[in-house]
Amino acid sequence: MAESAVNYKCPNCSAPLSYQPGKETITCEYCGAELATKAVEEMYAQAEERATARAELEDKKWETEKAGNEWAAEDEANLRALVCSSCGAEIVADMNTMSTQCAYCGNPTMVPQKFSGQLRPDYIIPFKKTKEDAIAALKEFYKGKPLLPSGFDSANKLEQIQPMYVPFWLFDAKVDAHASFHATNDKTFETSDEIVTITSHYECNRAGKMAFANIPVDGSEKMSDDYMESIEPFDYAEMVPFTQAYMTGFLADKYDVDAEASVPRADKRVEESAVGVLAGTVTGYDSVNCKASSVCKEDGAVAYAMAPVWILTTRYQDQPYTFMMNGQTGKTVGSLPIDKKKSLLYSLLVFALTTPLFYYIARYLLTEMWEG
Amino acid sequence: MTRTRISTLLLTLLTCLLLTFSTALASSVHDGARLLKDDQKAALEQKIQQVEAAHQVKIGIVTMKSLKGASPAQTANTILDKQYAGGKNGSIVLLLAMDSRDFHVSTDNTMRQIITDDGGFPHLREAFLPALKENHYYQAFDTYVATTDELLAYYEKEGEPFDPANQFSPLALVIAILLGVLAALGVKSGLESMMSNVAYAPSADAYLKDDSVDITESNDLFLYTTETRRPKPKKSSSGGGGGGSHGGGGGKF
Repeated sequence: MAESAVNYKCPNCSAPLSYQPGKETITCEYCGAELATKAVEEMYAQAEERATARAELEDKKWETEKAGNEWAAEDEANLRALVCSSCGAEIVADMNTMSTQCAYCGNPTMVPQKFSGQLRPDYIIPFKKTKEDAIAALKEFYKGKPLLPSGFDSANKLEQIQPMYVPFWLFDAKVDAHASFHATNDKTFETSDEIVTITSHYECNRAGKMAFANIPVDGSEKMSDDYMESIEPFDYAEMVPFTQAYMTGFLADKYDVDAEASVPRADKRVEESAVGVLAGTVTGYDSVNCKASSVCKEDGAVAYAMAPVWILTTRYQDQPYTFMMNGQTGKTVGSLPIDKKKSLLYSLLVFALTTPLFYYIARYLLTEMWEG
Repeated sequence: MTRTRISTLLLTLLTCLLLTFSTALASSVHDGARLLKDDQKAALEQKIQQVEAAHQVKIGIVTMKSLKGASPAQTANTILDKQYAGGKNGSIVLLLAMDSRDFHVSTDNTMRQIITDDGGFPHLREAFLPALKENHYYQAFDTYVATTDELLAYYEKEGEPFDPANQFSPLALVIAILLGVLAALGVKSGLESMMSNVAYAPSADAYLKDDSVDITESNDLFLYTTETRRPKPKKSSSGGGGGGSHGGGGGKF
């Protein structure tokens, strides 16, 4: 996708073009597309100009080293690490907060250790949702699920509900993006014996600057990235500078994926959005496809923040099911078991109801076609 | 106008000619174009007589070397009215003109209620036309008689004319089963997708700063055009008879 060099290729089939200066049209030897020489010259002049300009642009690196701070000695003294003797998870709590079991595997033995070797978060989003809110949200989550096993709601046991501050790296970026799109418009008309479609092909170039703020990438190996991205977004208006006071009564996960390792995920999401914004400006066409794109950061800052998450673990037929709730907004995510018998029953019901309908439609259409 | 007059004159002459040979035409099969062997003609005659007796109808097969410019429909209708009229439950005639390779089936208004222009006639036509196109005349005529018998029997049994739209279609059933399976799989997939809302966030759209987007280049360049041509779906060369005093239809073979 990156644009760094210019190749003289047919815009229709990408085969090399035999370019003959002076002629008004160029015909691609491979696909037969007839191109106006002026259009090709203009297209490649623009491409060359753009390639030169992009080469001069420097993709700035995220300033990952500026994320987080050093702990003050008294803060550090008031914290302790709790290590699970079973799965090795390491969570942080203040001296007044007890943890009776591991939030990840449910093991009841958490070994206290001295807290050290971690950065102090820049920000924290305080918990707004209570334990009762989390239980109610989970019950609500079960509703409207036709394939949920009949006994799941009543038979499953809520094994554990843990509030946890999850470490997130928040990426800010100003970007300079360019994308090249292939767009088409169709015009259709009929002759006495044919339906003729004339497709006009265009190259649409778009460039623009835009800024993103606080793209979250979780810094915990044990927290699934898909779960963490599913509970987004957080309301950053309520994010405050970190103070240890917010930790009282809550556990916090220690980050084990540093900011530098989180960069590729942030880059991918920024690029996807930036190209999407540019694609949104290509209007008035029947089809639009992105051919090439490049996104350069002009500025990239990273902050370290703790975000509130309720972790709910249930057990049904000896299988654990984990659900997570955004501790600020209450958005609940998870995967429920599927009742295979119900799934089969619904499929058969749909088959039985739709097949006769499809039969009469197909027979009517076939009769019309044959009589045509 | 001149053409119309000539056609009318020719039709009148042809009718006179047909009346002159009325004795010959009195039989069910008049093979003026000599397409059938004697034994084939006799077999057809016998078969037609059986069908006529069973259903109280009149059935005719007429072949001609040339219509001499006359309309196949008008000629068939005239032959029906003059030579095959009077069937208690209706009359039907199949006319072939060999020079122009025209065929036309004419039904009177009674037969038209049994072998309808929209339902029974297309079925009859599809039955005998393939053999006719292959120049298998005896086979085509035999099929014409057998299918007419079948349509008459259907009417007597069901109390309503044959309509292909009401018949069982194995092809439609196969299509319906495939679509039914697809619908069932689609609903199954939709219901199963409701059981989980865990997914990666593909983009960072929620974090795009309001009013931060500044489009610095917007350039659309026309490159070329391509052309695709699809043939229009063609209507069959065989058509129904439409309104008027006779039914049936015809075409080329």
